[in-house]
Amino acid sequence: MSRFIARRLFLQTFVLLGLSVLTFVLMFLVPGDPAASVVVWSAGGVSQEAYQAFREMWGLDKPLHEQYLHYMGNLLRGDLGKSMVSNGPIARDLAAFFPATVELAVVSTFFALLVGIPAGIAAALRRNSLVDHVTRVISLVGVSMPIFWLAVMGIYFFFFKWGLLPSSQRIAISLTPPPTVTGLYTVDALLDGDLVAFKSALNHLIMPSAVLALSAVALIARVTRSSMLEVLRQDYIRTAHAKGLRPRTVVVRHALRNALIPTTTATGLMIGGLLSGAVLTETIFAWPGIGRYAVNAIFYMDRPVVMGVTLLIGVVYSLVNLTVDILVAFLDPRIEY
Amino acid sequence: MTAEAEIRPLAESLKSPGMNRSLPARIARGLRAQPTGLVGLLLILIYVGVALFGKHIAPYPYDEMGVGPLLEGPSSAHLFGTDEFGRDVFSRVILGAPISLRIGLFVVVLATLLGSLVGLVSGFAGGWLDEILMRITDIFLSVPAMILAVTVSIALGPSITNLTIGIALARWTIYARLMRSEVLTRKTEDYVLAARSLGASPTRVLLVHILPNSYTSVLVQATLDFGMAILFAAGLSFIGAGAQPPSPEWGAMVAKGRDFIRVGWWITAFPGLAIFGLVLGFNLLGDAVRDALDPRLVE
Repeated sequence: MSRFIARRLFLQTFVLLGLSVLTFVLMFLVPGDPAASVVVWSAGGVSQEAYQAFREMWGLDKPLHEQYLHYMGNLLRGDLGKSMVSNGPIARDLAAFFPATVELAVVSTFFALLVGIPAGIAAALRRNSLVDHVTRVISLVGVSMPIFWLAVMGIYFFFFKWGLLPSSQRIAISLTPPPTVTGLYTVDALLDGDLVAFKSALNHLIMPSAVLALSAVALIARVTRSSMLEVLRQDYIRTAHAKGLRPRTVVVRHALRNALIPTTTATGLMIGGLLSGAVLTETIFAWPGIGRYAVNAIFYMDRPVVMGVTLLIGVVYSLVNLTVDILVAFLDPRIEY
Repeated sequence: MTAEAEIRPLAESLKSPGMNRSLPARIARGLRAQPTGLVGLLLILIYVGVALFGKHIAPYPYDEMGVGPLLEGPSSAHLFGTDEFGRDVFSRVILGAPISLRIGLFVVVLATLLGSLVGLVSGFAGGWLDEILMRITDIFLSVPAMILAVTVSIALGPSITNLTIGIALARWTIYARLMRSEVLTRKTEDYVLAARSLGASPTRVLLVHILPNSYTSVLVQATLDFGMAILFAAGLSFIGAGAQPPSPEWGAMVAKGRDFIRVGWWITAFPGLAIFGLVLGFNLLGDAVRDALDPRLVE
């Protein structure tokens, strides 16, 4: 097992290296000129000198491979560089924005599993019943819904019309964010014993995470349903029934354990989808996470920031999937490495 | 039970090429078994009809301002109301249909072609070429799709064409993997070995014997991806990385309507529903097609 993990980490390093080259080349090959876009943005007009000075300062006048090696050299020393737009260190930005995205993704995942797994099981147990059809329709609606539209309509109803939920940011403006321990406002507020801040942070989470969770719920319900159906058809389930076990025991102790293996794999893949979905959700709800940070950076062709965010997401994504693979190996003794 | 249905399991077990894969027949059977697929097909056909004849259906051009009062709610004169320039929202939604359908089609075609080519070569050649191509695929898979697509589209200059390229670049990997695994399975089958032993050239084996028997899973995935591509494109246009105003692209319309959501919900609501209906159509159809072709789900 530890050999498998070592091998995976080793191979993953090369994939991440490739990812860094790809992102770098992508931003270099395209006609967009970061110097032009940033200088125009900051000065309101371009003077030739300002433009040249900017290119020299960021090393944009050097050949591509030199720029890349320079970047990677700094990266190995733990330096992600500075934003071309704000001139602030990117590591600091990521440290500030990443927990916001994690909080959103964790709550959405939790919500997706909490609703998706029972729905999938119920649909499988009563195949072709009303429960099954309703689950099917809801999951199809879930994956077909444009989440940005749902978010805008949600803001219209829950914020403007009924005034039930806040429409943007992570916490009420009147409150000071809790002292940073984990960076997750809800957890930090609880650790601080500040119930008012906790309630506000939770309130701010409801709409963005519900919107983000919608397609994830659909995915989890679908996968759980089909793997449950497959497991229920196996001989050992018939044996368990024949032994005279209570149906509930058969489902929970015998079927569910195996049926949840594909669900575990799907959850790992889903987290990648959530990170993509977060780009839209964070933009709409002005949620200060890395999705919004990345999009703003892309619009300004702020290369070091795009590199930093892409690499961070790449690392997180591969770690999540490695964890999932290890978890699946524990759940399923047939898998050997 | 018809004779055809009785023979089918036998044909399946023979696993010979051609005999068991009348794809249209299997899809048709699946659609009969699952009427929701037919509902999806009907929805898509309605959208295609609207896209083809939109110019005759829409009461006004999409960019003509002042055809009604500004920001007026739905009425008999303007079914979906008017926007901040006094444009007819109903006409704009109608004339947005061909844009989304075209994006969906081009994304799927581009991604399928690129992915299939890579998968075909990778699976057939094997060895170091396979290794290199698959690692490149892994790298593309590890970039978050949204970030890749936005970067490509913004860098090339936000437009519908560049958006299409961006999404296709973020989606070809899945086809490469599907095609590769199909080719790997086919490669060792008797009829391929037979063709090779008869002296058929590698190109001939690949194009005549392997390819025609390998495209099923790619096709199913493509059906499912159609809706995804449309949704994805609308999302990118929404954040400004795709269609630009005054284009009646639905995602861009939702984005514009967002600024006026307090005074005119209809500017946002209707284009969003239009996206939802079309994507739902593709998902209903894709779902039925997948169930029809997934041997594990056949009773």
